[in-house]
Amino acid sequence: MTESVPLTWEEVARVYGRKIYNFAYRLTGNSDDASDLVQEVLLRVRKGLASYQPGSFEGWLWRITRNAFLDDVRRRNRRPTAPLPDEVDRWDLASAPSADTEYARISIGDDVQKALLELPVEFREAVVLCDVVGLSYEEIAQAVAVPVGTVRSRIHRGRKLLRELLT
Amino acid sequence: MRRTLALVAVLVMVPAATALGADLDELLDESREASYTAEQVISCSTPEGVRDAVVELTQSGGELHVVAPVDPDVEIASGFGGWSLVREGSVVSSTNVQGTDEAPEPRYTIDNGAETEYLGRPATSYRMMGEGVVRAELVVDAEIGALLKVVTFVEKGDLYCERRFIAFDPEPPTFSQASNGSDVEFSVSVVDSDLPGSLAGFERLDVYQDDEGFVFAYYSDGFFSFAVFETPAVVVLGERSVATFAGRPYSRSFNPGQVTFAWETLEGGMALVGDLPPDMHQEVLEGLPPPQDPGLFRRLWRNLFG
Amino acid sequence: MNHAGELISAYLDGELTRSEVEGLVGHLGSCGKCSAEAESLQSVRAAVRSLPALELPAGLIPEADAEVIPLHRNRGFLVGAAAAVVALVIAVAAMFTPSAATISVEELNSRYGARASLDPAFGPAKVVVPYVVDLPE
Repeated sequence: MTESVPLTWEEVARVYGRKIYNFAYRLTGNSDDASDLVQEVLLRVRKGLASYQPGSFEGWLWRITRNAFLDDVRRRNRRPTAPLPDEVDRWDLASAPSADTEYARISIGDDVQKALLELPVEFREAVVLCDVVGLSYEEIAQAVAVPVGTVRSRIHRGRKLLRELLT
Repeated sequence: MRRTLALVAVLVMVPAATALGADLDELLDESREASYTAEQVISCSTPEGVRDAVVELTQSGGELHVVAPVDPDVEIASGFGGWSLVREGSVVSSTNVQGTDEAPEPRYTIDNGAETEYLGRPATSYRMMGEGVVRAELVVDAEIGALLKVVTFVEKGDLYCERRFIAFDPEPPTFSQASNGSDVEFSVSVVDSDLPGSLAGFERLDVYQDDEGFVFAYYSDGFFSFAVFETPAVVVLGERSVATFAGRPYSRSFNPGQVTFAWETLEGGMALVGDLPPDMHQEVLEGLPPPQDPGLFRRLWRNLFG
Repeated sequence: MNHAGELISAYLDGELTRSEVEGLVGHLGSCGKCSAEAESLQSVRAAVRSLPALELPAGLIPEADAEVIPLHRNRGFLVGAAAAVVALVIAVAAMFTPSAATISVEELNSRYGARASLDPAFGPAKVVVPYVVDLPE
């Protein structure tokens, strides 16, 4: 995995911040929640870094990230449900679309994002960790604390559901 | 003269079912709101013999906690779509489902009820009727609405199960917070399923799928209910016997108040769990995919994948 | 339960071993349904992978603003999936594997019990009693 482990909180923030934000955004569908989640994760990393035992740094990091997301969800609802579709309207783009092709690409992305939000949480996080963050099944299994077979099944079922939602 | 008499006889025989006052759903709703601690005897007369148990029940705020003699250190906490096994104050495992607000077509009605007494408390006794047959007798506490006694019958009128309190304390209990130890399984409601929308007087209310590979549909007729499972592997029942319906074998096991069936189809395992009386089993099972021999397909698979 | 579909998904993610890939590819070609399945799975996968990598909101992490980190590494050797798609006897074999795992009644009970707790008759009339003695630790 990584050769050199980021040793300071600032280094973690610099190297992983954007990835964590994208993970959080694709899971929640809005930038406020994603920003809150990033800060929560970095806070936990900061607290935990002192006692971190060398091992798989990224595994540790993604496990923290994913737990922070679930804790947040549990705090909001009795149990995780997909956020209401109109939260997706708070999508804020880094830059506004100018050309027609740019608009078309983004609106397709919009559909995919909406569909992602309709997936059950376990499927959504598996698909996002695989296709947005780029983790291997083994890495996802570590982050999510289930066997690799379950990861494989969740990713597959997440994709099947997405396919239904997008066609 | 005879004709007139015959007419009169018919008129007299029309059952006083028109004097329906109480509503079954309301009665059940009220009973869920009661708070109490109780000891309940469950005793059932099944095709495999008598099944009984004594359980400790505490109910409050829509939650029901059960401690059973099979393991007194374990408590089942259920309510609001959740079911948790709690051992020594921490949650061992937990399942949650989200339900629909769908209610089945009313199959049962209850009569006006008669004043009675039970365990030294004023109570009302109702008969629950369906399709012209008494299916249950319900004894309801007059003060807090708790179900002190529930007796269910098979179609012929013989007793199926009796559940009655032998000790009862209407003080609202306090539930201590169990620490959340482990993984929570969420079952996700899905829309489509090959399982029938209605079956033997029961309606399919929802279908669930989870990431352990279970798909199950919940059926209810307003009082009795069962779940039909498509399981990722074969279900092994403990004390079981083989029951035959339409010439095909099913594994069957009776628990106090509950029956479990398990069988295999070509697609995999199937199971049924519920509290429906034995006279309903045949019609229900015959409306579901029947047992099929997967042996042939096992060999085919082996040939293909070695 | 759809193990064949899972294999295809895992194949697309580069998660199969060499021999698993060979086994899968060895059964390609005769199942049009399965090649359609793999094509559609690949497009869904590609759609998620093409979601734009978002920039951090300004000021959220001052330390990170300067750096541009590639968002995900390229994984999986699979390109042009459409041509190399697998065919499996999906309808039959995929659903049922003979590696006999078994399931205990408690797993049925917990799900039935959870749903039954939403039933109007939930309460003393519908107590779901724990079934087995050896409960999970």
